[in-house]
Amino acid sequence: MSLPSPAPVTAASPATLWYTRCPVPTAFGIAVQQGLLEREFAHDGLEIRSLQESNRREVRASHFDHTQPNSVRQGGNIPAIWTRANGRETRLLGLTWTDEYQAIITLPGRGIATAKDLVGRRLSIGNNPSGIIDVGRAQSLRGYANALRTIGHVLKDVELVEYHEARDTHAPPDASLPKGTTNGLGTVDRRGWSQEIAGMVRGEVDAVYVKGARGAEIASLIGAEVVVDLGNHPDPLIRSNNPTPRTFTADAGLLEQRPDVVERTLARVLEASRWAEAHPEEARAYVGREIGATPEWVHFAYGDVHRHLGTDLLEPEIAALQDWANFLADHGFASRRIDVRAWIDPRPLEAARRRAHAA
Amino acid sequence: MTSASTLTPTINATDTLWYTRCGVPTPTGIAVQNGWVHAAVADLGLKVESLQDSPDQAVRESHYDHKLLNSFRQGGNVPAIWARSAGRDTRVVGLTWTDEYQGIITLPSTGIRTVRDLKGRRLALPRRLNDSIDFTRAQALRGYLNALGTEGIAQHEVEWVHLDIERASFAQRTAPAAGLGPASPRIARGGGGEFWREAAALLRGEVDAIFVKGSRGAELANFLRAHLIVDIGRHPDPLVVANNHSPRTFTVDGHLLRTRPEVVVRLLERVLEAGAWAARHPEETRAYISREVGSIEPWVVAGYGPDLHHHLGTDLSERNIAALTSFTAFLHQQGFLAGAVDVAAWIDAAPLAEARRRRPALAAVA
Repeated sequence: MSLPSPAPVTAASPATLWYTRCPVPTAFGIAVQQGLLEREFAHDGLEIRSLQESNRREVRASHFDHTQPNSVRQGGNIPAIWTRANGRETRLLGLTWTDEYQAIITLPGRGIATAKDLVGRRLSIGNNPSGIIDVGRAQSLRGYANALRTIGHVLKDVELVEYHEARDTHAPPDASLPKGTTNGLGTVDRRGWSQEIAGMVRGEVDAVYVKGARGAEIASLIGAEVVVDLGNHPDPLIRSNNPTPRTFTADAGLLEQRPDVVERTLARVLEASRWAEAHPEEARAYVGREIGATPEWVHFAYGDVHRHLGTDLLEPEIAALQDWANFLADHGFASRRIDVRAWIDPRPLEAARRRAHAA
Repeated sequence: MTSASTLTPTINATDTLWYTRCGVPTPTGIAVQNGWVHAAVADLGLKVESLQDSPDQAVRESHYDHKLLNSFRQGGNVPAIWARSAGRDTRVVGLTWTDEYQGIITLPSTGIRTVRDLKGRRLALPRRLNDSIDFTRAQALRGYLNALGTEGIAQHEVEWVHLDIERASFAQRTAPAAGLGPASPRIARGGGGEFWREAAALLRGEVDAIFVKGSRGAELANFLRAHLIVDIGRHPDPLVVANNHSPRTFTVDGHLLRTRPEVVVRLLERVLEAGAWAARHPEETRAYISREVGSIEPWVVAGYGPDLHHHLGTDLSERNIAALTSFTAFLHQQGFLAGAVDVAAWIDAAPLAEARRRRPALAAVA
């Protein structure tokens, strides 16, 4: 390539670039599946490794807390916000807004048709203390809060019923499950939401927040009725949650030491999203493998997902992320409020775009 | 039947050949997805259409009752056996044995661990009030009785809980709301999914165990965090495994076979070809079956085994005929049929023999 050759690998510079992938659709995941990163760094003596491949629990846990040096991460934003609030030196380099199915569902015959009917009713919420961050709990709570916000109500106006979840979210894949996943984060596991849905069937709760292709499949499985369709809501603040917008973060040390590595990684991620845009069917198949859903459910839950995997730093997305980050702090999921704008470093994305244009 | 090779195709260009899919693994499904079925009869001026895609409910219903002329069907055998018992003019021209998960599951809270513990407990039996053929009830009863039989527990030694289901299986269903993209026909058909009536009863404590099968049954068991009491699909005796899906029947209507045997032979050639192709293409086969059944590939493996690609051959083997005969007798004895069915008389071996004669290499694979 025409750019200055990267600095040689020394004791002080990274020998391994760590990345982490959520079982969620990202251009990063596409870049990894297509071997774009390995190709990019083939001659740099830089090993590209997934945190999930590590046999060390603390390395796998860095998926959530971003303590692993020399790591980049594109995925759900809760872990990124949490670790930033805790003072970890990370930089926010890009945002990706991929809308998906997000709904509050009920069962027929419960007398709940619209958001107004949720007032005073019992809503389910998971409680999983095993992980560093209870992502499921945070996103459900946000879903309820946002649904209530559309009618001028708040969480205090409903009764939350807790479901204790003992599954270790950092555990290696369950050996009893069928093999064939692309990563170890539970794409095959079908146990998500099962206690909350069971509680609704038994009449302990009146409504449940679900999301994604699996959430849509569960809604269909149980013959649910949709009370609030959050995924199609016109206001991005109402749609903002753990998956929206997804964040691209890097640890500051890596960015300082090897900005070229970060820029080149981002350039490959941009390349992957352009590829997706031109390949809708392949993009759906990829998303399906990533999240453990058939392409039919991917299409239903994510719509034209191939057009929504780009990485940028748009103002409405930044505002939505700030609103959501405040929510996390206000509800104890993050130790303090963070300033999203101060967290952003726009330079690597600009450089990556220049590289992409030059390529 | 007359030797197929002496017959001249007489189908005119307006004729339609109807096929029906069950959302189960079959070589026919692979042949259809590959376009082989359409290609096989195109020069006979035949269009090939799926019953499920018809806007006409009577046409869709023929998936179960086999009323339509010029139709073929490879799938669960209960509807085929029932249609035959009701006097429908059909013939079995091939059988396919595909192993399948048949789970009897419970919740950990019931304390039930083994089949022996089922004695005196409440077993769920779905009862479809608006279906002429209640195959879900039949397959569940068969699975339970076969499992109970392995421990010498009789039918009257457990409590049967009948779970009424109003909605007809063939009814057009509405898509679930809140999607960001289109609902495919399968998603639209999926509302209030397979085995959910039973699962809900289990969760509410109204029953102690339910029967689920296939890849979607295995996924449901995982979702429910259920305890697997037994997967009777793994029993070594094929007569104990025999059920709605084992063996699956390839049936054609008698009119088609009498008037256009060439069409039937060509279909069987393609189905044999698909079975042989599957054996050589394990990964592609899993991908095809994934699309057919609506489960991701790891669950296809969980539902139909790692050797699925070796079990999509079509034959009329002694084992398959014996299993079909045993299961047909069960259906009659339990009152699912309009009358007795003579399985031997129902089978017409000539078209498969002719297809194999034309494709000797494929016959060896099957």
